[in-house]
Formats: sequence, structure tokens, C-alpha cells
Amino acid sequence: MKKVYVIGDNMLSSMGMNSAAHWEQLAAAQSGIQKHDFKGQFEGQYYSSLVDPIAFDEATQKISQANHYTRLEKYFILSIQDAISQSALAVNTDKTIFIFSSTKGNIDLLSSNEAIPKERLRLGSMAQVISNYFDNPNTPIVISSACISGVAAILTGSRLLSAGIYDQAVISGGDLLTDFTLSGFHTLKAMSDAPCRPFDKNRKGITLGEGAATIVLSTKKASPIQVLGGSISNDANHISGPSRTGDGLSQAIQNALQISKKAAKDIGFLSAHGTATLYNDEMEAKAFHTAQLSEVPTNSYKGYWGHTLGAAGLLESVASLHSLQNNTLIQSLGFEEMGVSLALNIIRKKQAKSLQTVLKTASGFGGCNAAILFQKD
Amino acid sequence: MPTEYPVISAHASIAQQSIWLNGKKVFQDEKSTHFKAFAKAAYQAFELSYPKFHKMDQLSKLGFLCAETLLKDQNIKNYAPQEISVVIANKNSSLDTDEKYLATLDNIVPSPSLFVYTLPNILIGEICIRHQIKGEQNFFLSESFDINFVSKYVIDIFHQKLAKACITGWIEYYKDEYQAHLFYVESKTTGMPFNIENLSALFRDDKRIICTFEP
Repeated sequence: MKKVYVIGDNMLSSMGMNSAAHWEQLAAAQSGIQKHDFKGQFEGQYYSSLVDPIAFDEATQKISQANHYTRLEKYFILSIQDAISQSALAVNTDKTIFIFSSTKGNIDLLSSNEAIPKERLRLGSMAQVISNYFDNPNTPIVISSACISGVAAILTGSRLLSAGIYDQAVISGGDLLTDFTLSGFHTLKAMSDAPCRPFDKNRKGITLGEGAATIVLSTKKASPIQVLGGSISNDANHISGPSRTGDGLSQAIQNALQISKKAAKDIGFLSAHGTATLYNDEMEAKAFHTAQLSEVPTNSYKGYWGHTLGAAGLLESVASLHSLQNNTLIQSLGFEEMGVSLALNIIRKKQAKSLQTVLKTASGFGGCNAAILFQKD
Repeated sequence: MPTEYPVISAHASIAQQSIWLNGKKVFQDEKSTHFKAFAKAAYQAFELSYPKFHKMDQLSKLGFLCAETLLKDQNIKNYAPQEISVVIANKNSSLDTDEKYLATLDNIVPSPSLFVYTLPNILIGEICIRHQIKGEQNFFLSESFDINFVSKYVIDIFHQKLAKACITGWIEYYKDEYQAHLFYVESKTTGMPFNIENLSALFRDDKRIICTFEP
């Protein structure tokens, strides 16, 4: 099995168009969540994390024939462009695979009169258009597994590279914030009327966000950061509610540790899913305790850019890699008082810490859970 | 000690108001004009007692019925729940339900019971709850069933010992056009090898017997 290295990354959200802009704000504990006005079918003012339209319009100058692409496709293209530029990687070879993660793709096309063909509602079609932009000859892989999609995509890419099926993987996750998701989570009574507060006693639900993030993996070019491995599991309990025991997630974590030949004590930092719903955060606390991770410095990034669905696993993994590189733990924004029945070591303030191994977890509708480990040499 | 390798233990298909197991038709409903009625007829014919079925969207019902057929004569209790994996692909994701959900939004009252089905992997969740499956899983979206990729991915799952059994295939539903093809794969010392050639041949044969259209 070959070693899989991280050779490039990008983050694109309310906090900027690249990872450097994100890291600056993460280090300053500055959130990208604001109260925004929504018109359309689901009118109202909602706390949310939206990509800045001015920064976005300016950035799209870099896209050739930008008007041929949807908003989300442009997020993907910008994110990928930035990530691959960092390693001068040639992506137009069949040894490079593109892997996409998204829950709803171009769902805004259902309500728009854009000149973009409706077939682009299909994620396979969207992915093909994006990988064509970069002249990649392979049929892209698309993963749509609810909120674990991003982590599942990185894991899938690392497995394919480790097995020697491809040499490089460009893995990109993205989702829009639309009336579709806004109304849906609202009707499930899952949304907070204030910026989300993961693991906090007064948490009231999620804040939605949008954006994209990309990670580039290689077995041919080494770097100090590796993907060690991971695992995906299912609670087999409920299609939209988290398990009461957290057993599915703790199983995924324990498998991930075993596969990576690591123990709980080796984990220097844990990036939780932390959506800030009552049930999710409680479930995670149980799972982390079962997996002997209750002392590990833990945060949720969702206080910074909300729940970005198909982008979440990528955005949050990339943020964790910057944490790893900079030996800095980032504050879990929105947290003040422990609000889960089994206490966790939630990061209250940014602090320096020598880090070697970090664990990222995610859980999603459909009862799925994912855990992945990254290592710095 | 003979070596184990991934083997196709069973395959099930649903299309054109018929259900097939290992190449034999096991159910047909000529009367139903829509999938919803066909699914109900199949549920009744299978004598299932599973009230949750009626709350599912059509995509999840399709996956559920195909898995029910596939596992009918198999003993998945031979495995621990986390040893069984599920790898599914389709073309239209949950778009059929997405459009139905959006219609409820247009009528001012969005439906939470529809919204929960606006993700394709929910069908995996339903299969997992029904059969108590807790292992590795993934949901891939592609314009057609990429047998080359899916077979490589599933074989790698077995090689890396991430699972001892796998339910894998294509579950596609959009505007009353549907096709489901599932394969039950186990690690054994004898049997039809799960590889690109055999998977392609079975998928092709099933489609030729069953389907006269390409959704």
C-alpha cells in the first residue's frame, strides 16, 4: 500500500477565496456567519454563511467562459484552480482522478431560468463539466452521502491512490445555500435563530453555510502531511436522527485508528462534526467517550462558516491540516458552557500545541458516520 | 488452505413491473401503471410486515425491495453488522423526490417527511435499518453504471479487509422510470468471481431480459 500525501488545498466560503484568508480569520476567532436577507420562496432574515458576491465576481474573471457554468460549478473551478496551482500538478492525465462531494449540486437550477441545461441537475453531469474544464480524461467520481460526503471523498481518494489505481486525486466538495436546504432544515426545526453554538449548553440548532474546498493527494510527490486512513459506518437506527448511543460513530473512529495503526492517545486534535443540534452534539460526545477521546482537544468549525453540507468534510479537513501544519489549536467558536452530558475537552481559546496526528469525524442523514486520520512527519 | 476471493453469491433486479432473482422472475405485476402501485403489490406479495415501507419515497422503496429479494435466501447473520458493506450508485440521485419536495414549498407548507428523502444515501440507510447492516458504505453518482470503477472499489474493500460481504449495484428512479440491480458479494473459496467481466455479463443479461429502455 502506497503512502498518500497532501500536496495542495483550497478553502472557499464567507471567509474568503483561499486557505490563507481562512486561516487568518480562524486564528483571530472571527466568524463568517452573518444575518442575511433571503428573498425568493423562503423569505426572511437568517443567520448564515454566504460567499461574498463581490469577491466571487472578481474571482470569476479567472474562469474562461465563466457564463457557461453555474454558480456552484464556478465555486468548484476556483477552488480546484487554486489547489492544483500549489504543486504545478498536471491534471490532464489518466493517472489523476477527480473526486467530487456534494449533497445537492446545482439544485438552484430547479428554480431558475438560466440558460444552463437542466441535465446539469445531475451530479454526474456537473462533475463531468468541471473535470472537462481541467482537461482530465477520466470519468470523475462523485460521492453523495449527505454530510459525510466530504470525508468519504477524501477517504475514497486515499484508498484508490494507496491501491495504486491512480497516482493523484483532486478531491473537491461543494454545496450552495438555497431556498431548498434553508426551507428543509427549517421545516425539520433544526435551525438556530442565532449563530450556531456547537457543544454549548444553549445551542439551538444549525447555521447553514455554502462554499467549496479542495484537497490534492499524490503518491508520487511527498509532503510532510499524509492521509493515514479511515472508516465509514452506519448506525442502522434512524434515517434522520442521530443514534442515542453514538455506537456507529465510535465504531468508525475505532476502525480508523486500527487501520492507521494509531491509538486514542496518539490523537493531538479532534475536528468534530459539531452541528450544534441538541442530538448530534450529544451523540458525538457519547461516541468520543466510548472511543477514549474525551481528553483530546476538540472543536467544531461550524461556528465559523456554518454547516456547508457537501463542502463540510473538505473545508473542515483542510482547516485541520492547517492547524496541524501550524501546531495551533483553533477555538471552537460559539462554545461557552459544556452542554453535553459527557464532558469533552472543547478548545475555548486558540493555543499553541505540537501536533502530529489529527482525527476528523462526520455524521450524516441516513445514519452514516465517517472518521479519517491525518499525520504530519 | 485455499485462498478466499470476492464471489457473487446472488443478484437481484427490478424493472418493467418485474422482480428477478438469480436470473429467474420471482414477481410480476401487470396491472399497476405506476411504480408506487407496483411497489405496494410487491410488498404485499412478499408478505412483509414493515410499516416504515409506506413512508419511504419511491427510490428508497425500490432499493428496499431489491435488497429484500437479494437477501431472501442468504444468511447475512453469518456476519457481524460492521462486516457487511453497501456500495450503491445511480444517475439521478434523489431528484424525483427533490422536485416533489420543491412542489410542497411552492404550496407554502414544506413537507419534512419528504425533505428527509432528498438525499440518495437515505436508501442505504433504509436497507441498513431493515437488515441491521453497519459497515462500510458509499453512494456514487454517475451518468451510467460504471462497472469498471465500482468493481475496483468493491474489490479493494475486500482486499483491505474492510468488509466480508457487500451489497452493491445500481438503484435508479426518476419520474416513474426505474431500474434496480443489486449483487451480493461474499469472500469465499469457491464461486463466481466478482470481477468486471462477470459483473458486466450479469448486468447486461439482466438488462436484456428485463429492460427495453435506457432511462
